[in-house]
Amino acid sequence: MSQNSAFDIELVNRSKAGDTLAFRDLVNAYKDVSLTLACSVLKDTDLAQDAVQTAFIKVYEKLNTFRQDSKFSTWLYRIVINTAYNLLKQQKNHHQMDVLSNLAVETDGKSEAKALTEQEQRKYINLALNRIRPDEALILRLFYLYEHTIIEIKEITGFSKSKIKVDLHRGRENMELQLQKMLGNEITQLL
Amino acid sequence: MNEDQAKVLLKKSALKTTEDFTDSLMVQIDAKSINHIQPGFPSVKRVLSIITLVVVLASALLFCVDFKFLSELEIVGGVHRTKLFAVVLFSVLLGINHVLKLHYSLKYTLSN
Repeated sequence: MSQNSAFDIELVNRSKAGDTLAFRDLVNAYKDVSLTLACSVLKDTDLAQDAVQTAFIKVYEKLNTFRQDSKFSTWLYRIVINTAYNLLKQQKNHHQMDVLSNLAVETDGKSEAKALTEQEQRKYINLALNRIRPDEALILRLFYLYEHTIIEIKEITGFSKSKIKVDLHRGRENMELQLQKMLGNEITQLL
Repeated sequence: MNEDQAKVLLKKSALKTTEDFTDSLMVQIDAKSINHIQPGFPSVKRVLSIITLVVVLASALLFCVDFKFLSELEIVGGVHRTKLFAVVLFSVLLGINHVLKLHYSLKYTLSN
């Protein structure tokens, strides 16, 4: 079982004792990762930010139930991901369809760019991740971006090992496909 | 796309929250914390139990103890016991009413 860092343990204990400054430090430490994971599911930054805020409020309210037998980050990410999937259910795909159509407009005519800047590269990669299934985008980010092991991903998401392996493989293929659709031969600049 | 290429690409996919994210979250948490503060007030059950006990003891005292010695001291000489009991009981009921009013008024104020 993974161990909590001393930093996390101290902040969690102080937060449990009612120290809101300690909780603020926890939020600052994990807010960006949480947003990235929520966005993998929701495909919309504003919605994802709402989900992360809701998740952090849940974490604050349930902090006394956290027993430190698992990593704080694992516990937090599980709450963030569950909150994001619940919000996704509420949205019933309507919003997602709007976002996808907006993305299509945004990318039109940009495939001719010869030299992609760092910012453009980030934009296209995130657009490609927004166009693949939430489970695939989530697993890709957990595995390659945050370098979690398959066992840790299983603990965070509740998915089976075989699903994680299949989604990793399909996710890579689908992401490449989406990048090719947007960039054509320019994809070589990214790889 | 191989594993290494995927890793290079995915490393560029991290997102950042807006600058006011933490402040706005902490405002919500502070607001929730205020709503969760309990008034420094004993529970209705406890207050009622104490009052009942006091009434029973007062009644026992009033009706069972011989107050002749008090009559001699002219403290409760001219007061009828039943009338005195009625006045005490009425005062106690008035007190209970006040306590309950205060309790629910505090509860309502803090939850809104």
